[in-house]
Amino acid sequence: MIAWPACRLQIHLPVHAATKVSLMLRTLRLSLSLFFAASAFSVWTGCSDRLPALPPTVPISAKVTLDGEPLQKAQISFSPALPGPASNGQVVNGEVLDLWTNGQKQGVAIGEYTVTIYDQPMEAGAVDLVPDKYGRIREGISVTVTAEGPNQFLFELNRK
Amino acid sequence: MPASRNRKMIGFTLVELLVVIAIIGVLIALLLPAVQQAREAARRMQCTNNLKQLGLAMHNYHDTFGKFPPGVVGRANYDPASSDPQFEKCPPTWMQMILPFIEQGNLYDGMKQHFATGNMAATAPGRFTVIESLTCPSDPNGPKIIDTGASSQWYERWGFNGNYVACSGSDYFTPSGDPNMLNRDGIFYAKSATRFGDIVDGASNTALMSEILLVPYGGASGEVIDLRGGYYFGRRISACFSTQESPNTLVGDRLSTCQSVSYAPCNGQGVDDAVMYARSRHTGGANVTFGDASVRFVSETVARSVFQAYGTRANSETTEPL
Repeated sequence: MIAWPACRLQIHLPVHAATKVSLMLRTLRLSLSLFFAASAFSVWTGCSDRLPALPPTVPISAKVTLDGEPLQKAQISFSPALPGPASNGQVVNGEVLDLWTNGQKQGVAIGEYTVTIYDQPMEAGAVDLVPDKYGRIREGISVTVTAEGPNQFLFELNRK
Repeated sequence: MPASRNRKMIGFTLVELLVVIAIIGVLIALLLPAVQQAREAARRMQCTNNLKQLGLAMHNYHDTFGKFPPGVVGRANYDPASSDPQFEKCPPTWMQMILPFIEQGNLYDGMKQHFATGNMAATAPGRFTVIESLTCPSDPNGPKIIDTGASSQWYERWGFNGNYVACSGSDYFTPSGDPNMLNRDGIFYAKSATRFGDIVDGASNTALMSEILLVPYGGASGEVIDLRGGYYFGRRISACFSTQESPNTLVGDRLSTCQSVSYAPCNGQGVDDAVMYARSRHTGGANVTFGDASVRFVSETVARSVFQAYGTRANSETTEPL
């Protein structure tokens, strides 16, 4: 590869030395830029990891109360009625925050859900605020998330 | 004039050179991703081999004791009275039972006495030992060890988490009628003692093991905890999987402590309807060991009903090819 232009350079150097050198430089520059473009392309195609495609999500506005007061701290999940991605978030001072679908996309996909609200961490059991029944999928609260919205929900929990 | 004739005879034109360089550029562009895929192919092959060894270990266990090891060696989600031995509060899983059959006999001998005296797995000696053959090289988060130095004796110090899990069947681990996981339709469940004779569907048509993805421990406050793959946390069935959904499904796993991340989503957290699905970072599916110890790559596009049929041991479905 490298030998060819060098050979050509030797032959014609006495005649058009300056022209040939500039041609060489241009070729070199072109091949270098080609190589970098190719490398960039290969990195782009080869290293990009495929994430599973999720359906489009919509934002949710929800409030949670416990015995009429805003629920201080809990976890909330939207579990789909039909097999599909679930969304998980936090309850902080009665507001539902940080709802992510499959830890990948903010918001909740359109469809029917069972909402469960529960304490965390479950293993340590340090704070037991929310009655266990609200954390069971089969006893959760049914909601429908629509594309039109407004997707505003109020979850009223009772300890009694 | 001879000079110009020479020029036509031996020289290369700029266009020719550029074409050559362009071709090389295209070749490199094609080659580099191929090299990366070759590395992933090698990792997948090692992962397949690990699953094959586990399948053979299960066979050897069966040859020795006449039955497969229990999925969980004790009731799941069970709280013994505080005066009783705490073994069932967090029992060991199938993993500890086959240790002598995957050349980890010394590790097993070290914890045998601990179990025999009624202690729970989450405090077992040797639980922080990484077992290479239970770690899939394709999972960037393995091997995983949980040792947070928390004040609690066992919670958050449950040791080694691996990628390989045993098949509990085609349903949730703990549906409403079976909160302790005592009767599932697969080979491994709590206190199971399945024999080859119980696998009426045929050993080659019934899933034995598969792989999952681990979620790294995170957060200084210890709030980012995930139980999946915890072999010493039998209490929450963290070393089993179900064929209810196809590999790498968008449907989330559900365990009592589960962090939703992009490749390993969760469907809330709870002990009811607990479940885990086969997941991997291999492109397009996951490896599954079947009852005959054969390992097949199951595509994530497999029909749900077909994969479910492979999870059950005695539902007499007609199995379609995967």
